[in-house]
Amino acid sequence: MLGSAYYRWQHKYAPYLFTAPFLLTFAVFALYPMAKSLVLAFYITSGPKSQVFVGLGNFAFMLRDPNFYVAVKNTAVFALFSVFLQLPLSLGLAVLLNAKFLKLRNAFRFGFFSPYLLGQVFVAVLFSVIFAPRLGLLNRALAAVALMPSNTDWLGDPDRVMPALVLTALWMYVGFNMIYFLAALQAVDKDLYDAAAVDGAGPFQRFVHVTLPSIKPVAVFVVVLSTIGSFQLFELPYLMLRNGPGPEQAGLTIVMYLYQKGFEAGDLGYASVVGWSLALGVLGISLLQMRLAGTWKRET
Amino acid sequence: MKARKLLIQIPLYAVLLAALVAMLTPLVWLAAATVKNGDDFFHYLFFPPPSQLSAENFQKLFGSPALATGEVRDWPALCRKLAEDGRAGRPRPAARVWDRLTPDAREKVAAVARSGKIAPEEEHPLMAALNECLGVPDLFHKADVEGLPLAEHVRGLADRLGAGLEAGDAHRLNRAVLELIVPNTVALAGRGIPFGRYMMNSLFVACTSVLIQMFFSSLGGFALAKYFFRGKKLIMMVMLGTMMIPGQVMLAPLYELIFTMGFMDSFLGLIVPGMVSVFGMFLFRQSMLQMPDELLEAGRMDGCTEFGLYWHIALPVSRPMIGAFCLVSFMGNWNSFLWPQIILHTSDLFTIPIGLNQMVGTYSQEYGVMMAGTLLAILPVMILFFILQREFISGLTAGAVKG
Repeated sequence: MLGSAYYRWQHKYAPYLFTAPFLLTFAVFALYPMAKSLVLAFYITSGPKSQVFVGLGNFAFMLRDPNFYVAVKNTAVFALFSVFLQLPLSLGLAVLLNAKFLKLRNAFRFGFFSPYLLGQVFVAVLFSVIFAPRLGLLNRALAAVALMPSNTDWLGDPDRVMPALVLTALWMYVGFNMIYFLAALQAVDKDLYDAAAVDGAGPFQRFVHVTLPSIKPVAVFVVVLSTIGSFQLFELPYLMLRNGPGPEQAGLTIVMYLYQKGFEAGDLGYASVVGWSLALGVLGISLLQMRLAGTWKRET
Repeated sequence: MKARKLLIQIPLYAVLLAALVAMLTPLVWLAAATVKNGDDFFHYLFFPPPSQLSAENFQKLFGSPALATGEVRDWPALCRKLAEDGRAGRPRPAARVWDRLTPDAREKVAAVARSGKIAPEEEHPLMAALNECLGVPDLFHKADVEGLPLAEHVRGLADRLGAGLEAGDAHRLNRAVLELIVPNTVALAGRGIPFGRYMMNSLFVACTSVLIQMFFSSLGGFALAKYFFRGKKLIMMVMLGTMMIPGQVMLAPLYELIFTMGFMDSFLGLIVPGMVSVFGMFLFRQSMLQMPDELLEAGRMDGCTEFGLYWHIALPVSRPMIGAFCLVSFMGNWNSFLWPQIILHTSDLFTIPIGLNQMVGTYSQEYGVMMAGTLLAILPVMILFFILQREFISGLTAGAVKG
């Protein structure tokens, strides 16, 4: 039997002991690095050992580097397509799957969702082959219906890299986001539809005035999540474009830029500046989105 | 009424089926690509007829690489033997090389060696002889594919032999072969795609991480759900903040930290920084909130320690969440690329994503092998998903819909 002194002690300190692993790892592997990256941002480094103080020099360099703007532009274009092309399609699929009399709903849901399970790395390897000239699935499919010659080099043509990335991400994430919309649709109060129907609302009006407002919190959540995810895009282009930014930097993203500068060129200080810019940018955009959606008050 | 219902149903199913086909086609194509060899990859868009099915791509992943297809099945063993012979001073292989050279070829070798110039694209007679005597057709081509400049070495060898190569020079040739070619071919043979190794590495890292994360996250989540203590609110806010800030901010200093701690190029560098998952703590807190306090009080009456309450009551109660978190955490670890890419340098330690990326660089033209690797790489997550499907979907949407 345990001593009662020990028993009282463990009862008193239990919550602190239970959260200690989190607090410890958080302090060492999140808080300290975050503070350190604020310091590093003022240095030019070469690998983890040598540092030279440059003040705001890193920041100034970043604002003058045309490649940084290319990265921001590419990432922003990708994010726009994610939000305005992919999410409406996800919602559309969810609405279809939510049809009352639909059979095999779970089979469809799993089918649409399955690409997400592959993970970006393996999707990138798969699609680098799908987009390959001559042998790739896409070119052969297009050639089969005589739309295009089969030697289009999707990933070698600067104008086609972004469409290829958008298409790949669409394939991978449309079903994933659909899951959220579908869960939200299934949670909509059925009585609201009945009430609207009694008031003489048609299917379209019911969708606009009942469905959309009901799923708005989830929709905002998905938009924010999707935007944050888009801004962190790295693996997909990096692996599809054979470990680089692709032709004419057409696939350069912010995180890839950070990786190039920080880990290929070895300047951790500069990477920190890019990292903070990304974080602040993402935070700003997320807050703006929540503000626009009018859910800011509810969130706090 | 029935006709109207059909009018809605037919287009609905048509659209859904079309979407389903679009989603599944790349996956089917992937599966088909793994069982076609070489030319069949182009001849057949999807699966070849059953008689043409081939396991070659998978053999290449696990056997020794391109060389496994030659006459010499046991290429690594042969190379080891060559190397041993070399160390023991037995002149066996090179003497045989010299024997295999036709008089014509000997003349050519000598002439080339005299002039000191060999066109880069020229097939050197020495190469042909080596090919033949080692029983590996295309040795040099395959070495090229492997990124090993074996042909360069042979040209260098001819240079070193210098002028006046005669029958009596077999010994010199022998030494040169041993010094230059054998170590390189051994390296080549040892350099097969260690795909099984990558798999084991990934499984080890992912499983260890999942177990550690699950324990610490559920423990933390339990404290946040069922205790009132000073600093709880602060912890919650900190957690929310962590989820809002993209991890890339910390990438550089974290790398520096791991470097200082000496965790570079080791699994510790992958596992230790991610021991506690903030997402997991939220997830477990959410599910444990619904657990009635009476359960815990009853446990305390019986003299159960607080950890005992967690272990015997809270954890079993949140079984569905364990399933969901297991899958999310496993996926995150299994698919993780950027961090392992930064941390790992030795190919023996590579996880699947890093190893596959490396392989894609080497086998950029062998689509079948790439696709076979990809298929095997995605299987574990797929299997886990089939087992945990129900828990996963509910866990994924729990925070979004209810919260």
